[in-house]
Amino acid sequence: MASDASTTDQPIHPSEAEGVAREPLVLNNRSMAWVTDRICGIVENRQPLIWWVLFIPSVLLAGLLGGTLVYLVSTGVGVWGNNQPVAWGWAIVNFVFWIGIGHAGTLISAILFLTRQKWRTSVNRASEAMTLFAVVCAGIYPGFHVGRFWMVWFLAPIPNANAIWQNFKSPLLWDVFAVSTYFTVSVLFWYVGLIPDLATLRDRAKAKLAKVLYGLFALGWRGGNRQWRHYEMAYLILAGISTPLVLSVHSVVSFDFATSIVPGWHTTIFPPYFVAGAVFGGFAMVLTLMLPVRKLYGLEDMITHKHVDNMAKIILLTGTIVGYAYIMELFISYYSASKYEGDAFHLRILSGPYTWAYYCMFFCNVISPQVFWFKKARLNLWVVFIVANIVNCGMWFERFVIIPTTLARDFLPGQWGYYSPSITEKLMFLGTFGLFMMLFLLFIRFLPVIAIAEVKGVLPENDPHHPDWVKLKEKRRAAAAAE
Amino acid sequence: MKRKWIHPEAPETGRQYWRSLGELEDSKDFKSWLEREFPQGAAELESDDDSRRNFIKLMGAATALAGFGVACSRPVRNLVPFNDHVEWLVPGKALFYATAKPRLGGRGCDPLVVTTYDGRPTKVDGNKLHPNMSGGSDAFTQASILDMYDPDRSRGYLKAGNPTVAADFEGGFLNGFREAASGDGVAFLISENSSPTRARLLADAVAKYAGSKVYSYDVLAGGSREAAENEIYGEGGRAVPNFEKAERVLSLDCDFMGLDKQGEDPVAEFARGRKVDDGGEMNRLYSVESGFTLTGGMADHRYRVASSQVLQVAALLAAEISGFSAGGINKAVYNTKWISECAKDLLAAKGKSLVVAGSAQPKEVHHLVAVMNAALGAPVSVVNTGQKTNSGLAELVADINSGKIKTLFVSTESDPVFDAPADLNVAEAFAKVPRVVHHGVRVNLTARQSTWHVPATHYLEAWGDFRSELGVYSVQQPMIRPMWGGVSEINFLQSLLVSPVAAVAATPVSAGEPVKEGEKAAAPVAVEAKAEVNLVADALVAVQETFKRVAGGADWNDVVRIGFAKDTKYPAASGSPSAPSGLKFSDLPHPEALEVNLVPGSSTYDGRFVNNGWMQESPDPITKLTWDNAALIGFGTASRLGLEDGDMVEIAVGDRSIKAPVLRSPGQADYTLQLSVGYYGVDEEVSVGNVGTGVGFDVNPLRTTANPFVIPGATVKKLGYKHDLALTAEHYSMEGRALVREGTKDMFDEHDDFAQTQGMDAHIPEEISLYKGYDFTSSDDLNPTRNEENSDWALEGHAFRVDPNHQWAMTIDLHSCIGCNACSVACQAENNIPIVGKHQVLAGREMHWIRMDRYFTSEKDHELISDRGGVTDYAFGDKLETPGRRSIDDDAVEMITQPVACQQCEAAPCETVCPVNATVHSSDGLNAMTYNRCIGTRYCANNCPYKARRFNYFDYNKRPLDKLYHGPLAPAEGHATTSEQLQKNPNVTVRMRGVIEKCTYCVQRISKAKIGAKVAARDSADVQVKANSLTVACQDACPAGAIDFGNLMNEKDSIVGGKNNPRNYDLLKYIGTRPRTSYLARIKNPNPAMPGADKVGVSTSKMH
Repeated sequence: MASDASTTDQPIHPSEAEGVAREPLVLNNRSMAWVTDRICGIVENRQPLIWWVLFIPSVLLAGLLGGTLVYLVSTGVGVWGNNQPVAWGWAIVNFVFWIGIGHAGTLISAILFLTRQKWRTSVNRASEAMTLFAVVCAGIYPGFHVGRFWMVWFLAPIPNANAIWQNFKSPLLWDVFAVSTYFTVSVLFWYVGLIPDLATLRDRAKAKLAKVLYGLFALGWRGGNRQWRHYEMAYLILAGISTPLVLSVHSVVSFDFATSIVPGWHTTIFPPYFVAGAVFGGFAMVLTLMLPVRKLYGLEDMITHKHVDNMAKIILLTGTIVGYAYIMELFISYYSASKYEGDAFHLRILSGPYTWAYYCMFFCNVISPQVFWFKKARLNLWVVFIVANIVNCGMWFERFVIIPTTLARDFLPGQWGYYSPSITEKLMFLGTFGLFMMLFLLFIRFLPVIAIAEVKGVLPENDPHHPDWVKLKEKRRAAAAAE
Repeated sequence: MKRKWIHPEAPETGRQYWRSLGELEDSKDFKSWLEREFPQGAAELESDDDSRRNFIKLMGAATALAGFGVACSRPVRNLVPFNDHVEWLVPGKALFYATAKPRLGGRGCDPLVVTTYDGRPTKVDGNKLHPNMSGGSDAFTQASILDMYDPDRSRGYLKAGNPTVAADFEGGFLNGFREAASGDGVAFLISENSSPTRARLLADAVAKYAGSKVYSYDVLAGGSREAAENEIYGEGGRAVPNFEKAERVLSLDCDFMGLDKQGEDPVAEFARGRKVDDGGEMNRLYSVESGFTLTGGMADHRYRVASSQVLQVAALLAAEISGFSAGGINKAVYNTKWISECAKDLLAAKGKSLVVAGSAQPKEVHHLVAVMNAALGAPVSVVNTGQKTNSGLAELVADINSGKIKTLFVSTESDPVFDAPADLNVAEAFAKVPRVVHHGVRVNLTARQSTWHVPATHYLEAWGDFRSELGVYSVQQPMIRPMWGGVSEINFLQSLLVSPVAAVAATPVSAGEPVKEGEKAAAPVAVEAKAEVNLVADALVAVQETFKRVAGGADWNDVVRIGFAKDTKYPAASGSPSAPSGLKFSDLPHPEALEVNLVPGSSTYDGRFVNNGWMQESPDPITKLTWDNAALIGFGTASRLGLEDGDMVEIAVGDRSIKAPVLRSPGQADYTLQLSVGYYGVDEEVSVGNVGTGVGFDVNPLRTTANPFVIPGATVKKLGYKHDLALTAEHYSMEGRALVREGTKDMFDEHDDFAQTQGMDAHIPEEISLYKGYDFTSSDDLNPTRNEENSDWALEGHAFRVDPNHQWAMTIDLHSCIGCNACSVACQAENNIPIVGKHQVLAGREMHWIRMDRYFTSEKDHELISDRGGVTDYAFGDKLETPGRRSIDDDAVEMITQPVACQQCEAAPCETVCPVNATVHSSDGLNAMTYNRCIGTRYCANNCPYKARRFNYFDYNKRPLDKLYHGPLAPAEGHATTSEQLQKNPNVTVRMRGVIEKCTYCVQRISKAKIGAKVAARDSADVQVKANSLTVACQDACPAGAIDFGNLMNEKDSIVGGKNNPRNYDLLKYIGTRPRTSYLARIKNPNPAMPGADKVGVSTSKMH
């Protein structure tokens, strides 16, 4: 059939049939062997110097995180800057920030999988890993921000002597369930996706220990048809389970605020607004991580401009949704004619002590992504990298604007206050970055950053009818004949 | 193991005896009754094999586990049986004793009832039985209990500053002095108080040591008022105003409701005279003052003028009222319309108008006040206290300098070496005296400089007596043996007169009996005189002697039980005031010559509370400043001088100067600086204890004998650096929210429910929720949740949630509340609330369960003081060029206060958000807080619209406040873990770090009352607590009676009337929390003829 196809004028591939020339997902006609070599090579070869330059400070910062946590638990929440009226400070800001970052991974891996977006294959692994590490960082905060860390198990619905249950009305409890479910499913999803690649690594491993460990985690993968059938079904089911979680986690996190009565929090727009913001921030973080990785490990052929372009477009879309939410919040507070609501936003944007934070947020999240309307900007990796980092900052400011600045000005002016973080809080935030980077660098070091099996699946080589592959095959045949 | 009650078995033979028909029948009910007599679970353990087995199993497992974990064990603690205990003591139950303390300022006294647990006094309250007092108190009285436990009090004798023992003092000085019995060069320096026993002993001492002389000194006692009274009514004659009978009150720089009390019980009297609900005449208060005081805050019309100008205002008023010819006053700079309309109004209410003047005002003002009061027929009683007026400190220093004084006894509450007027050079003078014997509770600068220091007792540790301003005789009885072995002032004087051991040789004395427990007086109980209690018993003998003379007919036991002798009073005196002549009027202060006003510290008074943590952390009622004093300055003046809050300035008068931070305060007279005395300054060298050292700024260098309180001619120089001021409220304006609602008398007469439509209350939409919740207040027997739209399913099985007998609620009458902090400190004492220290207040972590929100209002609410950062120019109008001349409109800034604690919402936002159910609703309507369930997410605090919840950010009760950040590295014994622990209320949990706490409506008192009612009810169903029998701590403390607490399910309870009061409104009703605490709106009574009258009391009437 294939040879026939080359001699007829009939279009044999859908893309050709539609007359759309699709950009190849892997450039330079790379072969399957090249893909395997390149990705496994990251794990198998020595790490470049820059890896160590990043890794050592990250470990130190992660240690610092441990130190601040010990200090926090042994001394009291007072080591932070929280107070009365601002009982939640950076801890919850950072929790929401990290949880938000943890959204892109599952979105890419689950929703894009279900919608058959094949470009996801070269970025999903790393972004899922990023998700997990971000959720780990996020999870530290709600656990440790409480006054009595050693009593945190009260949050778990386990029977106890007093027969006291949790308060199922409390959004904080929903948080516990939502985040832990999200983390569990994300780990499973990630791990299931890793199995074929772990087997590849196992097969290539030379060191005994590596062989054993990769073998252990590869769960006896042999790549048989039956295994693939089960594997793909499991993967599809997990994608199905993950998809609603992408929406639910940040909706539930937003309930922490939306179900309260605090003016500025008590808003029905929060769930979609938070989800859009999370996707927005998550993609920014994916870009922040993937652009350097791509460059450092020579993955340009797999993580192409097309990927960057797509993600920039998503950032533009979600950033604009977020901007709409910001403006809609203002409108609703005006339209509600509620004194407290109106004042909350008035203070937020005009006369409050944290107005600067609002404008920081607005610039970073709404104005800066607008450059992505221009293809030139989307293709310039420096512009993309800088905007992605501005968006990272902006999303942090968004949470800061929502949490402490709202609390600092609520119902009774006699109790208005001000909040500024203590050094412990700042170091702790820095520490979570250290932990995040450390985990991510270890991930690069020990696991395939790109899903090998999936990328192979989108190679022209994988599709016997693919015109590119047909051409390539002829070329190779011709070369062989010439020889 | 609990001992099990084994019921005696019925004898098998012979007659059968039974105690009830149930027993005879051996019925099931009886059996279960028998079982139920024991604690729950006790019977089950025996009857149920499985539980018992489980018990054994668990025991075994636990023992085994304990065996594995033996490495850790708790420290051994012993329970000591209370074999030799106090009379009438039932362990765990409080005993209440009546006593008294001298009132701050030296006139009158505060009759008290003290709560004691196991011999430890824990709480002080006013004596409600007293004929002239309401039973309220003030913040200082409430906090005074902490002073008794203060570990920094003087704990022993000192000789030239070095520790020594009593015997050394007796041998080295006292015995020789007593035997010599020579009065040559002997001087006594005392504080004025109303104790007749002390006066008698002092007179005896002066008689024994012929030629000795008594001087008196107190920082805040200017003596001008007494001097004027002596001149008018003869020596010892005192004018006692009655505010209840006064329909018009004019206060001339007199904070009679706050720190300059006049009359028997001014706040309660004023509050009674101000009542509006019964339709009676409501009083009207005019206030002329420099900086805001509590009195000025309550005033219907306030005239802002420098203290030095009050004389002129008084003269102008006297000119209108009594025809005094006030020549030489430049009337153009005063608000003559204000003055004349005020005078007219006072005259119109002749016989019911009263004028009072502050103690810091010169003698002439007091003369003018007496003249005006005479002309107005003011309700003032003049009594003859018989008290001698002693010479002042200036005379003493003069005598020392002329070499006359050889032995000086200093027994004053003040610290003359530190706080005397600077020109007297007291330190230098005292150094010249060969023998200075200091007797006091603190090792202050005077004590350290003295030859000998004798530790004094706290008033709760000693016998004594005092008389109220009208002369009601009160007995002071000790609650506890002196904590640190001090000697009371009476004992000290006695020891000068006679050897203590000889005096007590064979006099049996009787101790007092508790006042509330049991109505009948018990037989006197003889206390055997033991050597160690000699001094205390000795004082009792002296007091009883005085008692016989003052109230001979009364029964001593009865008097000690109730605390006072009912029918005692001072004889009346009379005198005709005459207008003073030759008045010298001073110029208005201006930018080059500012005026400094020194006032009592709202937290330290004259410095005697400087080491009291509760007071230091109690925010100033006006500025909300804690742990500091600051130079208060008007907004206009500050802007003119280019000063901002916290700016350090050097305030110089002549060649003397002090440094202090500036704090802007609305309503402060232009070009005046107001500073409070009583702080030892930032110099850590001047140690005044753990709490007070290094706190505030020393203002005493500015004081002179001539100008002790009002100091003209000051200049201010900015030092260029800032000082952190720990304010508990940084915002001044209500921001257009009708939080503290007020109206005028006219508005009230027209629509008495005007308050219920202010703010957003008029816009509250209909409740459209399907779920209506419970109507907690419906009294429909066991099914009180009946609500018209409630369907039955919502009720089934939920009846247990609602207690049909008790639903607690509170009203706070903003009309009476003066904002004095008494409730806040009382709550601190009752509920074991820790202090957190200046740094934590700066961080916004103060713990007060009930706080005082203070707002300023004026016509241009927003522009005026919308934010502390903004420039404010209300005093900076076009008339600034001629300071002093301004229309009243500029000055129409009012102060309103609102105590806010947990509102005990029925639909509490905090309860729904707690993930672990640590805050839940109780069946009797309390929003309960379970500390040991709380994990400290603080979500409840965020979601509380009233910001009533407090979080323990650190182990405030466990760690020293200066080492909070050291965590476990800090020693686990701070200032609060030693003697101050003894003050803790045993019925209230001491919270650890990491948990939220808040007002509980004094749940410990509620439980006690409910248990009491249940015990009294026995088998009947009448378990309801008696109406109005239960009070909470803030309510007890409130001197104005503004707080009412009670049971909504009892129609006889006054709270039901309070809730039906048309002035009643809920704070933030719009958000639908249905609070159990509600407020009664404040009514102002402006005089329509006064300038700016239309702007008084209407601040919330147009708010949305």
